[in-house]
Amino acid sequence: MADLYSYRRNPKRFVKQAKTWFSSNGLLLYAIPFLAIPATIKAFATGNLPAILINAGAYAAYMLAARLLRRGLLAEISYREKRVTRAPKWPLKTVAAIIVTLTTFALAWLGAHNSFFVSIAFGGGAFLGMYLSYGFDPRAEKTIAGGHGYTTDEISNTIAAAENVILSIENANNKIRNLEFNTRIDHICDTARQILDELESNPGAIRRTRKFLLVYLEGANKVTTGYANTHLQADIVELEQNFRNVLDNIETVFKEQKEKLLEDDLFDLDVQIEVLAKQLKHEGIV
Amino acid sequence: MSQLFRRFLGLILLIATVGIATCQSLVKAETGITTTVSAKLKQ
Repeated sequence: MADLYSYRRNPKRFVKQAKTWFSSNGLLLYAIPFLAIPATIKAFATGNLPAILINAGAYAAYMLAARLLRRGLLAEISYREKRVTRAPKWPLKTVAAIIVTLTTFALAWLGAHNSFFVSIAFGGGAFLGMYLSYGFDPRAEKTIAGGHGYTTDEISNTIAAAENVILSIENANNKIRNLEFNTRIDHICDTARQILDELESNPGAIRRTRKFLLVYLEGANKVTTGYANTHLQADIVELEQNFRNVLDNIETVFKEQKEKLLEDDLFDLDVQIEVLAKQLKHEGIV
Repeated sequence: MSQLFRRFLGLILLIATVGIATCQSLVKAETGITTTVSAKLKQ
């Protein structure tokens, strides 16, 4: 599963919560039921088919629960980091807790041959343990008062799309073997993230920001990706100089756009975007 | 209840229930389920 952090060079927008002392990130659930493996082997050795099915099935169920729990925890981290977002689509942590509960009950009853009520106590204890350790999934939609007519979906989709474009620029940047360009592109991505930050805290800017992101960020993505793909094949000084010129333009106007956005200077911003779009077209980038 | 204590308690509960259930299952893995069912019926 794609980890949100693995692609990020500069996760400034996100405020990670400090991990607690023995936070296992859900890995613990992979380890606790390991005795089900020797139990299955023993059942095989003694030719006990029901025990084979119970122990092997229980182990598989625990592994499924552990996987769901990990995914649920990742979804929760992503949810907590965003200011505007919907609740995770599936209650994965809750489903994992239910699977662990039922499996522990079944294992205690059919595998360990405890009485029915003792087995219920086992299941209940496991459920409580899952709840106390990991909690359940967040269900509330996070939105900002005064969304200026935009739904949570519209705002979070715009931000997610822009983040994907920034990630694409950063991936292209990783292919470029030029320290100067790497630093400048990193700086451009920083500025873009600051604009997204502003957008999250002030959804009223979405109309202006959307146009800016579509034209400019996408333009920066195309030019960076294009350069990353061609500069290793053809080492042309002219190509490098052209890219440098375009980066100059992008950096300058990006910075100006950010300031204009913060100042609510809508008219000036639109004019500058038009000029930049023409510039990119002229350079044969867009 | 502090977050740390809560997580610690949850951890203990998980290890106790899941760990003991699998451990008991390991010990009794050679016992046939039919034996268990008949024993329960006798009770």
